[in-house]
Amino acid sequence: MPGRLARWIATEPDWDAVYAEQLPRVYNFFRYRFGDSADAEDLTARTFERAWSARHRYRRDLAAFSTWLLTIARNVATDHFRRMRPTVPLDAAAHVAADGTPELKAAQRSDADRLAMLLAQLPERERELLSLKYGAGMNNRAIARATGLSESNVGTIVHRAVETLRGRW
Amino acid sequence: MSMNDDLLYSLQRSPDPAFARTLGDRLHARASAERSRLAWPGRRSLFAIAAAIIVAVAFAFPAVRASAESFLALFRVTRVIGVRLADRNVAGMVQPQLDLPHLIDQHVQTILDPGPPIDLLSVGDASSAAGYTVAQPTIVPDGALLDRIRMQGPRAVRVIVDVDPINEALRALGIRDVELPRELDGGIGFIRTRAIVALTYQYRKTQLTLFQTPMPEMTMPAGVDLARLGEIALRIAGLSANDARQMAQRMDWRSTLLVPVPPAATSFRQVDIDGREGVLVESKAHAPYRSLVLWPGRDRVFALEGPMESTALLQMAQSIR
Repeated sequence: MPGRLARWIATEPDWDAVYAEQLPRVYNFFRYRFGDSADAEDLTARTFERAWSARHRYRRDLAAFSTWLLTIARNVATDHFRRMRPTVPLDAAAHVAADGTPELKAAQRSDADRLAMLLAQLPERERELLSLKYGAGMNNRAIARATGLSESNVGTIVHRAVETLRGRW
Repeated sequence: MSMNDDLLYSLQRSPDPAFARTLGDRLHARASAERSRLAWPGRRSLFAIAAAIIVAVAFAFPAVRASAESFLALFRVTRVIGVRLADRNVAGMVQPQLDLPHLIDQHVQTILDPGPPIDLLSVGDASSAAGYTVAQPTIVPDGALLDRIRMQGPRAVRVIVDVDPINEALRALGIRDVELPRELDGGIGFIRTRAIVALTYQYRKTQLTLFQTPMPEMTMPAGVDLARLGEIALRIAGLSANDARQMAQRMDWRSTLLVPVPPAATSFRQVDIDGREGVLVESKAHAPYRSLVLWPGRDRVFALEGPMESTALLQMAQSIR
């Protein structure tokens, strides 16, 4: 029997286990993506609610469940980004930080805060890919499947984004 | 600290436990609301669904029925496979315009009625009444006591193939790539089952029950296209056209019992009981959780159902002699 058919027939996901395993990944994707815990919780909840409604349409032969779920998370993130009005444009944020304002001093209190500020300055595509890799813990192949980019393209974009962060560190 | 992968991962945090719990409860409530609409079927409705599949997997007959020779095809089930019923297909089966119970009543005629179940005083009495030695588990959960022994007598039905309503039913379910061929129309088959014995154990204020019955017997002419009929059954269950065709062609339909798993089931998986393949179905929608395992023995089919986690259930199943 074809392997994918055997898996379809033989095993049905334990949805409680799936939720426990995937919740931190989705939550951290949003934290890396938007940086705000309240938003991250709200967007995580929306992602799971959409996924749970559609779970019986999930096809194991097409993608791993985590990839399928993070694809939904990306769509939720895109919808949210379109509704958002950034309070400070990215260019202005960089200018303010460079002046050594209180914002820069607060960020410098910890490496994590500093990293969060640098992530916020990245272009959207780069920030999204880093959120999938370092927030959700996806490898480049899974990121490629979730985004439609080629695996080599993902690797290149991630590498350049990390180099950008290093340069600004 | 320099920029390295450890630092890049350092922004990860665990979700707040209260948030995780609240969201989890909400998802459970949503799933329960869905399941109350497509509830975990009682045994009657589960058998009705299986009967619909049997009707749809009616018997293929050669075009020249007059010269067809009947032979007794004893189906020796050596494996039980679970197939998840798709939500949309179960919803389709209960739509009023399909009227599945009427379809079954019209085309499945009872020749031998089993009568109501009867209670028996001992396993020995049940063996005498059933006409076969009743098997029992040698390992039961602590505190479980054999509380009731029931038997339902043998049953025989005649199945008459009426192609048009069956094909209409397939279309009502959105299945347009397969249908029963015209030459099957009017074909007749027979299914005979022997007595079913149920041993019920009282366990933790509820019951767990072991069912057993020898393999069913079916009569049909030579040249039955079981793979074709199996493909239709799998399409009814919800497989895609391509997957149903592939699986139907690879499966030995004379030795495989296909069991429809309702959407309300939390999970199901194939299990090995004494070297034979069965299916374990679990329902965790409401406490106490319930599990059901179906598997073929050497000369009969078993089903064990109860309010216990799968390890204990499987241990009990493995101990049946």
